[in-house]
Amino acid sequence: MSKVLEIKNLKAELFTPGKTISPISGISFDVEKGETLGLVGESGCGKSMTVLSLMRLLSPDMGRVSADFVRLDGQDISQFTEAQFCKIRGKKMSMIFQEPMTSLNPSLKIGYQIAEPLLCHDGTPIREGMVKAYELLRAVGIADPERVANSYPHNLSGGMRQRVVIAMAIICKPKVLLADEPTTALDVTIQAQLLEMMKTLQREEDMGMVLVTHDLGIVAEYCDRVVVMYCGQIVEEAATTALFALPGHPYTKGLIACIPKISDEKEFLDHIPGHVLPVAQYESSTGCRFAQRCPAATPQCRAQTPPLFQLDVGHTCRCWQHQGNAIAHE
Amino acid sequence: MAEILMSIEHIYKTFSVKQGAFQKLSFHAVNDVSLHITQGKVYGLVGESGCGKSTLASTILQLTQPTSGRILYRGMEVDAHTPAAMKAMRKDLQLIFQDPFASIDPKMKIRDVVMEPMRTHKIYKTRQECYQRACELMEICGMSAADLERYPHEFSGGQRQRISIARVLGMDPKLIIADESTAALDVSVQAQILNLFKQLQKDFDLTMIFISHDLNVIKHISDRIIVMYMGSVIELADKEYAYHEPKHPYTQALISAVPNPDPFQEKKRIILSGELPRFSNLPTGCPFHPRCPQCMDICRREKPALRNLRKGQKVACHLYDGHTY
Repeated sequence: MSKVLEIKNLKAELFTPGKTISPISGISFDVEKGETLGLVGESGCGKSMTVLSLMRLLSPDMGRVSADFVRLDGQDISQFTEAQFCKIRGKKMSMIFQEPMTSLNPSLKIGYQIAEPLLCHDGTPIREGMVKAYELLRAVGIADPERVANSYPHNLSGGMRQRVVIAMAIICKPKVLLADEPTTALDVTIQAQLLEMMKTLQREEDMGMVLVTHDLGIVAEYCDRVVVMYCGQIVEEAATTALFALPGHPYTKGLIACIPKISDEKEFLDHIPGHVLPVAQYESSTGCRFAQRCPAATPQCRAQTPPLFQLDVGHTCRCWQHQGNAIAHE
Repeated sequence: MAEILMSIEHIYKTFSVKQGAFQKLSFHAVNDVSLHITQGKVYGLVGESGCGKSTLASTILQLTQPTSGRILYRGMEVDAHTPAAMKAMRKDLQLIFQDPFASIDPKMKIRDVVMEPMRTHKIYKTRQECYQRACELMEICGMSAADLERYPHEFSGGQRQRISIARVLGMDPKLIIADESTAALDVSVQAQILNLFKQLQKDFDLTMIFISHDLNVIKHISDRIIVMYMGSVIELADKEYAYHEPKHPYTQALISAVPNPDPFQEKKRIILSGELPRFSNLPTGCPFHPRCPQCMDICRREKPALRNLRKGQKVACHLYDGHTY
């Protein structure tokens, strides 16, 4: 299999009044063709920052993004100028946002909004663009595309809007789709419909997908591999089955244990004490960033920052418990 | 037989929206709902957004008046027109909101936040007693008495939700309605708050209605499950029945749609087609029939009534006409 997205040492800095903070520090991961990579963690751990930085959606006066390299389909895009980046944003790599209402323009008709990337990137005439838009609306499960294409976002329900957003994101047949909590705002039955549909479309186009979510249920059912993030770092990366069978990091274990499960008859849930540290606190601290909340923390954890250890093929974990293992190349 | 705390009989809540200049369109957000709330039980109220869960909750709390139907609290009809009786009842029925950032006044110290309702209802004679109770409540909810002197912005979402719970417990409530109270929280914090609810329910023998769209959460906390669809209760069952033998096709689909955080378990998924109908053009007959995989002729014509299927399970579906267990 070939890698469609390779990221090495991605960092983001945000300019806040008084000082610069770095909410993500050194993220590296790969996405293969046709693969779904889950990006999980609690809020404030840098999941959304990662995808926003990848899409370069931080304005230059808000922050700065740097990386050793970001290879999209073999091409390093980290050094691209803004003009060059505009050519691939929405074409080779596109994004789905959480809130479908705010990601659509309320004053434009749905059909035009879906066709717009095609008009911009390929210079397709509007008539052809609209035909393509109808086709995609049908592909995302909308029964009467002509009517929907002629309506405005406020005429549609949340689930329909999110279908439109998905259609818009894939109209240029991107190599990589970044989905930031695409179904969080929706009901479970609609969520199931949409995720099944995204899976089908992904298979047809052999697209790589990064699915940001906080729901481990979604990860278990739809992702091939998982990256667990905590406080701006990757703490564990593994194939989904390996992650659920043998979670290596105490944070991953905690996350899995604290979700209530339908099949489970536990009286009280396990929980991780405390909460995610604010960026300003964790970026300067020494030692493991999870040490404060970790049930198995040792003095070493508080003093030294753990590297990623290689537990198995494709399974890495940032925890001193595994220091007998080799250090993974970061 | 446990005491019935509250009976809700044939409640309707009708809203009307303007359609153009002269036309008005009215629809039932709550459509003929009857329930008995038993002392000491936890009820889970589930359904998709817009199905009338929150409207039903605010009708129970008398925050909105039902269009028709009766609400009996401890066997007595609640009369919304006598302020003294209403005030006494309000004290017994408490609500915990979804958003812990919007439900606490940012300009008030936590001590005032927790003590205000106790003062309003004149539960303690002196300020000293009231303060002492506030300290106890904070400790019960996993906070410290020193936190009373701080301001809301110093606390995280989970901590604020604990404060909201402490505030409510000061009233010694008979019924607590938690409206999506953990939806805004991260899973690890959600687990903490759910454990707190469970502990409190045990310690104080609380009666609770837990509203959520998260069936995993509902399963964990409730004894009985109420499933709503387009304003009607379509299934009402004990937890074991609702999750292991759901009868209504909608309940079956809803439970199968929940992502299961266990990649090794086999899944049977029922994917519903279509979306929730709008209240403005509710289908005739069973409101679920356009999405129902097992729709029959009668479903298009007649709305099924909620019937007893067996002890502990009621269902409103024509599939079970004539069935008894």
